[in-house]
Amino acid sequence: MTLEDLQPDALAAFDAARARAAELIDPGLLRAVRDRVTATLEGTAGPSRDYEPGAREIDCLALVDQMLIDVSSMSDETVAGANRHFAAGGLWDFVASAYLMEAGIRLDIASARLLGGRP
Amino acid sequence: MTTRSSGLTPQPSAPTGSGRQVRVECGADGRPLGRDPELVTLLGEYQDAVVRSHHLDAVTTELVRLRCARQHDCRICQTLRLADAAESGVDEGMAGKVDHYERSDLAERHKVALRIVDAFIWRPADMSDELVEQAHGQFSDAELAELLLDITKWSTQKIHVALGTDGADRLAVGEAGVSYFTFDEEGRATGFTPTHAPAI
Repeated sequence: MTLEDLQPDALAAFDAARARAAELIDPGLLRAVRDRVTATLEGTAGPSRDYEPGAREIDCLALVDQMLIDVSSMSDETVAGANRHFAAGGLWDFVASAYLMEAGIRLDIASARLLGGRP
Repeated sequence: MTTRSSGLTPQPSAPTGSGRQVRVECGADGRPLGRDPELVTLLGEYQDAVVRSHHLDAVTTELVRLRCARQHDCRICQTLRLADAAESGVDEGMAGKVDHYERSDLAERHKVALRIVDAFIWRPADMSDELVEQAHGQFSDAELAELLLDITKWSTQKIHVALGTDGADRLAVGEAGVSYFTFDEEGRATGFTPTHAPAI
């Protein structure tokens, strides 16, 4: 049985939260987060890009990288760098959205190994 | 990027008593200001739904929760103890074993659970065939599904740690420096208390 078969209510709630995150965060930025998380967790090269990332993407991905590798060593500077691109409260929304992206990818990989994956 | 060690390597223990600062503007209740209320609600509903699942025993749940707390160095989560697990035998001696569980006398079932936590937290793609076999030897599919979701639920602590809002100063703690809590039927954390009297 898949994770979705075994935990339908929790996964529906998880997907609802991710859908809200997708409404809140710029699609290009969220795509960059997804690509970075996937490449890091799967140990693959990220997709090639046909643009130079701007300061917002660079600063936000620095925060995402640190969350992925060792959140406890996050620096004030890394957070401040990302925070300057958001209005009040926006950084929390971004961090929560990035976490949901990360958790979903980790869940997909781990459940595929242990339970056969999500459909 | 800063790391405590190279690469995606499990750490035997995380530092406690971090002096990290609050990095976002917070209200009087200690919560960040200006968050999207719908996202806050939906994230909470997800966590509540995970907690309402009861396939795993309280001891395994607590050891998994503590391993997540230690790996991510979440101050508030490291200060908390699940009252149900305490009643089932998780004392401070047992809680301390999660840091060095492979060399501990924890049951093999618990060691396998903690190996899954580490694989999930560091690099789930590297989960070995041996660990997958161990997992199915110790847990049912329903238990494994809950275990994976539990890790994502406890790991929401990463949001708080990243933003420095994981401080435990608001918790009333007892002599052991911990605070006990439980979950209500809806899956919400409740009943925080500095002391715990096990039901004997």
